Amino acid sequence: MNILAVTIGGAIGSLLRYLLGLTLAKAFQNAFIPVSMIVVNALGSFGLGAFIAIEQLASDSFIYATIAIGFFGGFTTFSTFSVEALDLFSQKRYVHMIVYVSLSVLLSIGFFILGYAILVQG
Amino acid sequence: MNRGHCYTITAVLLGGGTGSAVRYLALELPISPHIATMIVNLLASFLLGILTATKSRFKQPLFVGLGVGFCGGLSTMSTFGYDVVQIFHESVAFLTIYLSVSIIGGITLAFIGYMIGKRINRGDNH
Repeated sequence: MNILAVTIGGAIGSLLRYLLGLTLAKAFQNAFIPVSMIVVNALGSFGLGAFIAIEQLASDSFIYATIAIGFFGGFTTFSTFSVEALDLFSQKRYVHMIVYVSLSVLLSIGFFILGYAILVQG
Repeated sequence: MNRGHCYTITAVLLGGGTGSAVRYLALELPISPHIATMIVNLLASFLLGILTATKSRFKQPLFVGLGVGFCGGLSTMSTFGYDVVQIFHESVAFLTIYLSVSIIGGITLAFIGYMIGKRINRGDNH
């Protein structure tokens, strides 16, 4: 049952990532590093942090599978991060690559903590 | 919205759902969930590397379905962030290894996948 929930949550999350990614890529097409997946990953990490802070929801294994593993897991991505970093490296844009990698990782972790901190009770 | 858009959206839904289901199955393995997330992130980086190099062999909806959908759904940054926070509370030494293997390993595997993809392309020209 949970695997079906993950599949549906992941499908919807992935589609939203694709659509938001297209919009953001257009908006930031002149940026010096690829920005769209940094924004998507930070947003999804914020959402997961906020979700986990709401214990009544996160302690239910079906809801956890749907939202945390499925939706936010599918909404965010690591593979695009690796390939975009590799792309900057192969263009010998090393400083851009370091900035891109640092921002991706730090903003994802930071926004996860922020989402958690805002929603956690007590 | 034309027919091509419909195909692409369907492909992303199918790929993203399948990739996420595989990630869920990895979490069910009798290993630490942190390691399971790391493995799927590395695997997805490798696969996306191959796909990126062989992009011209795929029709647009299939490429987007496999790359954005499957590889994107298989890998995750939000759970990676959650893992990092949990590991930070457990062991700073393990955190250092986890971050290094995920980040450097992900980029390296994307590179290896890319080189394999280039070789697949070359193999066709002989």
